[in-house]
Formats: sequence, structure tokens, C-alpha cells
Amino acid sequence: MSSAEAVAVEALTSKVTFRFNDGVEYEALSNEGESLLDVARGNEVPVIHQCLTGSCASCICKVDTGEVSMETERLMSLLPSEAKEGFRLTCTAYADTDCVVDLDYPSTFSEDHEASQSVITINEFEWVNHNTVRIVADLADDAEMESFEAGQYVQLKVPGTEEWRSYSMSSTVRDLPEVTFYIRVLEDGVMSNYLRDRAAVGDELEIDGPYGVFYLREEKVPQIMIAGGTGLAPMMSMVDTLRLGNFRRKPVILAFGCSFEKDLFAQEDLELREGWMRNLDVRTCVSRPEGEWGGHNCRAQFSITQDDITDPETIAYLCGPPAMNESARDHLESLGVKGENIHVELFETV
Amino acid sequence: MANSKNARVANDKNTKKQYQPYMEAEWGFINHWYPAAFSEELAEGEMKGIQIAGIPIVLRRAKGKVHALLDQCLHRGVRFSAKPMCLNEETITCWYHGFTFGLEDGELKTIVAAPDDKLIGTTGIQKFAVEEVAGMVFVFVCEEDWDEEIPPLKNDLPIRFPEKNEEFPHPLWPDTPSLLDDNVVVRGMHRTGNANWRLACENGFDAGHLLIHRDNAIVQAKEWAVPLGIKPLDDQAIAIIEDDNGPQGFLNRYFTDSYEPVLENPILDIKAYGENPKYFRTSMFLPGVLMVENWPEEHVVQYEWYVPITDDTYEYWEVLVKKCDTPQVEKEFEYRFENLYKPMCLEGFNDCDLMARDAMQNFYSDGSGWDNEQLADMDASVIVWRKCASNFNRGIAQAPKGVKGSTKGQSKDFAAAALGDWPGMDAYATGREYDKS
Repeated sequence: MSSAEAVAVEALTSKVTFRFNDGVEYEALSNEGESLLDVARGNEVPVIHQCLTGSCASCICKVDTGEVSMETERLMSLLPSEAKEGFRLTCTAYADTDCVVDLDYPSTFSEDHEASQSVITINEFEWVNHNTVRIVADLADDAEMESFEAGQYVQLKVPGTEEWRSYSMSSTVRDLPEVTFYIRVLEDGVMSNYLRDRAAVGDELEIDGPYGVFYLREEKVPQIMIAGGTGLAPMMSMVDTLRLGNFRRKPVILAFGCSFEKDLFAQEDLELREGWMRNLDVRTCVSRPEGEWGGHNCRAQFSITQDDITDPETIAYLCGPPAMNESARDHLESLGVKGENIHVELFETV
Repeated sequence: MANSKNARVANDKNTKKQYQPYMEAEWGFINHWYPAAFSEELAEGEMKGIQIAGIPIVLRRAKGKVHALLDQCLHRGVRFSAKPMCLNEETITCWYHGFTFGLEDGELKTIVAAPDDKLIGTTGIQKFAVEEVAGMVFVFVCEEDWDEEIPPLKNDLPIRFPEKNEEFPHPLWPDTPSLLDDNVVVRGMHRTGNANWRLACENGFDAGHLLIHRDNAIVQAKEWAVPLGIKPLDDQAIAIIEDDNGPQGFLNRYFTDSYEPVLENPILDIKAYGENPKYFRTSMFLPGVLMVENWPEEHVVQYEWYVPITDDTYEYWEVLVKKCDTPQVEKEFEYRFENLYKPMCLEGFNDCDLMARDAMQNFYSDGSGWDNEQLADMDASVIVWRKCASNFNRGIAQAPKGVKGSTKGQSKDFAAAALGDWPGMDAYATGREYDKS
């Protein structure tokens, strides 16, 4: 190889350092055209991923040093503010120079949370408001899914179709083999049509999971959860997991917001949990109340004020429509919550 | 009347949802004060191993003071109390490999045969707060990472009088004594019951269970007019006691207009008998302590604890508390305790309760009983207790690992059953003095 050729090859390859939050680092070479995820997968770096198309956001990382560009034509579930802060989805990101990227979970996470496939049977099917159903289902006896982290999701295959949709469990690992979901039923959509027209107790659905890196970090610091609509589901799993772990000595704020009062659900469950956990403060927010409304009259994120940020290490979880997530992140950062302590779940409303 | 056989009026699914944490507390509540021993069971220098809410605890009295440490050596996990060994008054030594821990702080101070080991001074075992009052030793059983101020013992004992006289008047027996009062004499006993601790708690104040005491010798001998049952009439029957800085639980307003004694059942032609009215009142507090006022005699109070050991055994504590202002009063009370109340009440009368709780265990042991039970109006206080316990507990004990009861049907349990007992159990139950010579 001539020296000129060597320079050319060097220019086309970059060294990528994947750094996990348990301190474990992997180094790998990126060739031209390879996404960070391709690099990781080609070198057995345990980066979490699921959809490979930039829509599930499981494979998120944060750039520490170096230049990492993004493919912008593809559907991206990254918030503009996240992109600005250096977050990238590894499946649609490319190393332009040598770089170091941080993954906010331990290097053992994917091994400990391997997805598996099984079947669930619907046990309870309940309309909890005009457009939301609550489904309680049992995993098949031979299911391999023995644990998941509070906040993670699974994919469910819509019966009679080849379509898969993602839903977070509202139940906890302690409830296994029972799993509970809250699902919003839209005017049209394969899952929505199934739920509205055909779903019944006894139905079987294929399930694949668990997935996702939006999960409860069990650190002993104040916790803020901001949920929009059925974004409440993963928060319910987190609240119950905190409760079962006797997390009682730091405040937990759960801000749950909907546009209209008729969109609310699970109010009694939340009230009970407030009784059980002295440190839990549930703020139910309606942004466009019609008639008398005694709760917060604002979007969920704006029920959080400066007085609520009592610890610089406060952890926040956001799960709602993209606009809510975006605004909530801005708001929390303006109140002093550190960007790296804000965990966001994509919440698709197609 | 279709489906009437399956009606669940008093305790439907929606009601159950309201006390989910109680259902989850199979191993008990944690971060509470529990009775651990009578003072007289721990002589100077003696060691005793117990287990509370799945946590093995070793008690040792040194220089008069009782210490409580985790009863599990950090080296290979054996219980110190299996073969007590203390080589001085400041430490406890593991009989197996000689790991030696400070009684005051639980730190690893030295290792008998390895005084230069690098582990020394870097690690230790959990230490628990202890209070000794009126002849009883209480331990604050908490999570390892408890980092708050420990709540006072009084918050985990029944309410006191006269401070509660106005709120809960009881003209027939003013100023119920408390364990914490001056000049009280506390006499009692404890033994192990084979049921989940919650079944035992619920039996303690269950207003409908008086039937099992109908034929008890003390009831017959004293001709006590014990009703067949006591029926709640209105929402004043049960008072919930919620106080961030005091005991929390509830009180049954027996013998007021809110409760009606059931004296006969004409269908079965059965009547309450006994000529002598027997007035008493029950109340229940976190983490599971019952107070029966004016029982078994006037101006005496009976306390009961149902201390979870595992998820299927509990330590049943019964004590009588009486204010004794003169030695003569004390002497007479001691006499009645030994000769009347211990054999005929704490044993005779309450043996029936012990049997009833054990008898419930099969139905509840796999969890299905909580779903399949059919509670009735008489169980109002059971449901109130479950909700109170859900709201007022300081933490749910986690299912433990590596301790007695964490796996069922261990080979040594089978061996114990085959032999009638396991030889090592003797040390667990009583503690033994280590003979240095």
C-alpha cells in the first residue's frame, strides 16, 4: 500500500469508543457508511437496539468527544433539544471523526434483559375512559421473560395482522406472569381497530420483549415523573417498583397531564398510591378544562416549579407526546435538573 | 337471586385493590419496633438468636446492655447463635472461623486466627437499635440502608391514657395502663404459631370469632357474659387513629351505640350464657400490636404481638400490664397471673386463637385464600385494619434470601421432622452459654 493510499484509508475509518455507565469501554473501527450501531453489532459491543430504523430510540447514545453526524431523512424519534445536547440514535448516526459515545446503562444490560418471544392471553379488558383500554394478560407458562425493568416496553402483534406495536407495562416484575397495559384507542390504526372492534377476554397475542433503555434508575435521590396520556403506564410501573423497594425517604412527584378531564384515567389507583407512599405527590393536570376542574390547570410539566427541585441530582422521567417531552426537558433544565439526569421515552401517536 | 352463591358483598375486587401493600407484606413490615425477648430471657453474657420479618438477629447482653446484630456471619453465613462464642464483653465471635465483630457498631474487629487480615476494619454486619422497657427487649428491625432518625418506641405501641381519655372515653376503666407508665408490672409469654402473621393479627380483633371462646374454662368458671359476636352498626364503630408522631391503627368502639352484642341465634336456638357482664375494648396498631383493654381482669390490659418470623410462622406474644403501686398489689397480681391468667387465659383461652390461626394457614398459604375468602359484615374491622396497615407501615419486608424459611422443604427441615426436631434448633430457641474453659 502506498502512503497516499494509507492516508485515504485512515480518512475513511474512525475509532469509536463506546463507554457504558459501569465504566466498561469498547473500542472499534468504523468504516465508511457504517452506522454506529453497525460498528457495535459487528464488534459485539452490547448496545441496546430494537427497530434499526430510528423510530424506537432504544439505541440512544450521547456524544462525549468527536463529530457524529445524523441521517436526517429517516424517521427520527430524537428530540431536537436532545440532538443539540449531543444525543444520537446509533442506528442512524455516523462517526465523522474518532469519537467517544456514552451509553447510559451498564454493559451487562442487554445480557441481563434479553428479549424473548411468547404469547399472552387477555384476562381483563376494560375501557377506563372514552378512548383508553386497560388490558391485563397472562404470559404463557413457557415464556422466557422472567424480568424486566420498570419503564421498559414490549411489542405486541396485532391479531390477524403482521403488524407489531410497542407498549410499556404498567405492572411490575413482581406481577409476572401477569402484565398490564394501558392503550389509547385511536380513530384508526390496526391495534386500535382490533381493540375497538374485536378484542375480547381470552384472546391470545404474540409478545416480544422486553425492550428499551427508559427504565427506573434506583438511586436515592428525588424523582420527578412527567406523563402525558397513556405515557402514565411506565410511570405506574416505576411508582410501584419504588414503593415495593420501600423508597420512602425522598420525594417522588408524578405529574400526569391530559388535555381534557374526560381523557384522565387510573385516578383511583394514583390516589391509593398517594395514601400508601407519604413521599408521593401526584399532580393531575388538565390543560383545557371544560367546566369546573379542581386540579392543576396547566400542562403536566408546568406543575413542576422551582420549589420542587431540592437536590441537584434529581432524576426525571418524561413520557408523553414529542412536544410535551421537548417542552418538559426545557422546563426542567431551566429549573436546574441536569440534562443527563432526564430520561425520555418516545411516545408515538401516529 | 341468580349468582347469589357467588356474591362478594363485603370484599369485592375493588375493595381488595385498596390494601394491596398489605397483601404484599407476606414477610411483614420493616422499619418498626418489635418485641424480641423478655429481659429475664437474656441474663448477663447470654446470647439468643431470633428472626423477625425474615431477618436473623442475635441478641447479647454485655455489661447490662442488650445489643442486637445481624445473626449471620458475613464470611460463610452461619448464625452466631447456633453456637454462642464471646471472648470479651465488647465483641461477638463467630464460632466457625473466628470472625469477631464489635457489639457497639457491628464492625469486623479481628479474626481469631488471622489478626492481620486485610478485611479487618473494612467491613461489618448490620446493627439494630434496642430499647429495654418494663422487662421487655424491643428491637428496631430496619433495612440495611436506613439512614433516618429512628422513630420512638411509643409510636409502635398502643395509644396511651389519660392523654387519649377525651378522644376515646371509657368510663368503666379509666386510665388503661401502658407498658411505658411508671410502676407497671408486665407479665406474659411468647411462643411460635404456624401461620402467616397477618392471619394472626386479624384473629386478634375479629369481632365475629367470640364463638371459639364460648366454652373456654375461664368463661364458664367466671360466668362471663361473652356475646356470640359483636356487630358493627354504623360508621362510628371503628375509629381510625392516624398520627405522624404517635401510634397508628384503629379502635373498635365496643359497648357503645355503634356496636350491638349478638346474644342469641333463634334459628339455631343458641344463646350467650353467663351472668357477669364482661366489658372490654380492642384496638390494633402498626406494626401489629393488639390492645385489649380491661382484660382479663378490671384495670389490666392485654397486649398481643404477632411478630413475623417467616412468611408462615410468627412469634405470638401475650403480656398483661398492670399498674402496681404497692408491693402487696404486685404480689397479688403475680399470684393471679401464675395461677389463673397464665394457665386459663394466655394459654387456655388464647390457645383457641392459636389453633384458629393455624387452621387458616392452608387456605391462605399459596396466596389464593386472599382472593377466595368471602368476608362478611362482621369483618368490617378486618378490612379497616388492612387499609390502615397499607397506609401506615414504614416499609414492606422483602422476601429474604439465605435465611431460615426462604426456601421451603429444606433437607434439614425434613430431618427435623423425622427426628421430631433438629438438634441445632435448641440453640436457636434458647441460646447457650459458651464455656471458655
